[in-house]
Amino acid sequence: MRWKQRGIYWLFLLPSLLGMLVFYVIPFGYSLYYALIDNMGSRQFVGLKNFAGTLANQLFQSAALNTTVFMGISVPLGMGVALLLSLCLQRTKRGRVPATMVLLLPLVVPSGTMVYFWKVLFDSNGLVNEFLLRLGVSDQWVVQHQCHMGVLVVIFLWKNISYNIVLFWSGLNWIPKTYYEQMALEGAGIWRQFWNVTWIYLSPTTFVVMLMSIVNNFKVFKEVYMLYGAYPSADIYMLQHYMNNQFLSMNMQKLCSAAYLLFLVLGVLLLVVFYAQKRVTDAYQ
Amino acid sequence: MKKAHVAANVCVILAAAAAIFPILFTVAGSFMSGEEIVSRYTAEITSANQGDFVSNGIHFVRFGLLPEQPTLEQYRQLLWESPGYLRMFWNSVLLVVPVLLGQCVLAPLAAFGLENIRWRYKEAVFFLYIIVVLMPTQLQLVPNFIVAGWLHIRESYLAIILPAVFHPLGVFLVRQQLKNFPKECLEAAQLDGAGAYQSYRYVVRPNLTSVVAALAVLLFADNWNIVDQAVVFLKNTYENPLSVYLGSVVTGDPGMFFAVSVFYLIPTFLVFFLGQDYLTEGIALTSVKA
Repeated sequence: MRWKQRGIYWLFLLPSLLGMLVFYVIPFGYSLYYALIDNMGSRQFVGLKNFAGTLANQLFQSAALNTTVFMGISVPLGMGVALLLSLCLQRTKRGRVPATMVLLLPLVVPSGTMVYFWKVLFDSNGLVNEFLLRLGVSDQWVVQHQCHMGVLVVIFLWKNISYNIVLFWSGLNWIPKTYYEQMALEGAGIWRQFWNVTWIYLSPTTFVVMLMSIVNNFKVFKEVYMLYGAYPSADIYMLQHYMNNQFLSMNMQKLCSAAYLLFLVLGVLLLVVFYAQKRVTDAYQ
Repeated sequence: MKKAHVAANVCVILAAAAAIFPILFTVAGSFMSGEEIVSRYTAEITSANQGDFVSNGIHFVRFGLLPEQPTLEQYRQLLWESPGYLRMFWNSVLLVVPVLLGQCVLAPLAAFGLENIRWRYKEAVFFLYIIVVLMPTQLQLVPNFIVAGWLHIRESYLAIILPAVFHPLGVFLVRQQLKNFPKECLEAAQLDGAGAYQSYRYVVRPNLTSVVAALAVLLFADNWNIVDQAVVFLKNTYENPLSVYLGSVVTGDPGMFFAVSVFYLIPTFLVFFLGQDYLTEGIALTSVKA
């Protein structure tokens, strides 16, 4: 009887586990083999040659650089603005529920449906340029200073920032109100309350938000694709585009070596954030 | 103290306005005629848009929320004269529904199974789930692409649907929730003679309704906005989900863009208004352990 019971739990797990192994884990492991052979025909083992080739590839380099720049801007900015907004939300009494609802809306809105709005705002004949020209900025300057990266950051934050707000919000609610009351009794202002209570007790959450922000960053591909198509200008050519080009040309060696490089770098980055989070959390418990 | 409250309220109101404005803009545009949309936003100077801001021979957008002559013409065209858009909308439905059904059945079962098996490596298995959850889409696409080649299903919807059904997010979310489930309830059910399936069906599953709803909302938001997978797997334009094709409507058929977008937004709004509490819950759950 008991063994039969055990068997049933395995039966519950198995369909999902097998599917996950078959569609994700096993082929991803297998792709390491593709990254180590010369081509799909002769299948000669060439060691790390593909990796060296990928690292030396100029397109890959600029894609990696653009992805890093985008991450370097949008992660801290997204976290900062989200923290500020969730602190503000905490201080609003009436209207908090509808406000949160409205803030969450962009998260479910398909990227494609908003394309026209962003075009009207940021295109060369758009509102932002008109504003600059009316201010007396010269035509030349406007043409020369097209900032695609900035546009992407704005659109990305518009769509994804509420994710961070929700995470910060649930983190803020874990901090006992009595801590603030204690500080207020001692005559501490908002700033001291923030640094001595909020910042410290929120730091485990902050690391989680950072982790999720890094992961979510790659979703920006949707926006780039919608606005600029499959071949955007060089300053916003991201790793996702590089990978997509390898899919389309079916170059498994380039594809898999790039995938493993990304996997390694991202893995190390996430592990660092994860352990930092663990240390901070343990310190407060 | 008072000042801080005012500032906080102002910040929240500004942010909410920024969040909703692009959506209002899109909805407003859907009530404009095709000619009005073109004359407002084109770079060319035409007889219809003289008087707008012009620089270097380029017409600048005439921004505004109020249609000059409100009309439902675009919707009429969309529903009765544009089978192409309807077909792509239907493609989106075909891609999303099987994923939602599959995940909502399989994920809670698997999470319950994983929670209850006794095996040394079960946490290692769960760690595997977490790693895959954290992989960016382009990385997940690599194994998806390879398997699709093995199974000869590249360029078919199955290449997108099957990996999405087995995407580990569902098991991850439900297991996070199950960890808080009181063991005593299960023991009590077993004392009363319930087998594994009965205790799942009558004790555990009813308590997972809200996390499964959260999962459904998250999955819907993700898959209704599917782009990356479709770009890799689908070759023919008419096979694309509308989420991908919308990008080309802006230049190809600008007059229709807003009506098509609003049409595509309707299911999103429905899901959102029914499930927005679950959405917040789902997001919060993804962070519990991470």
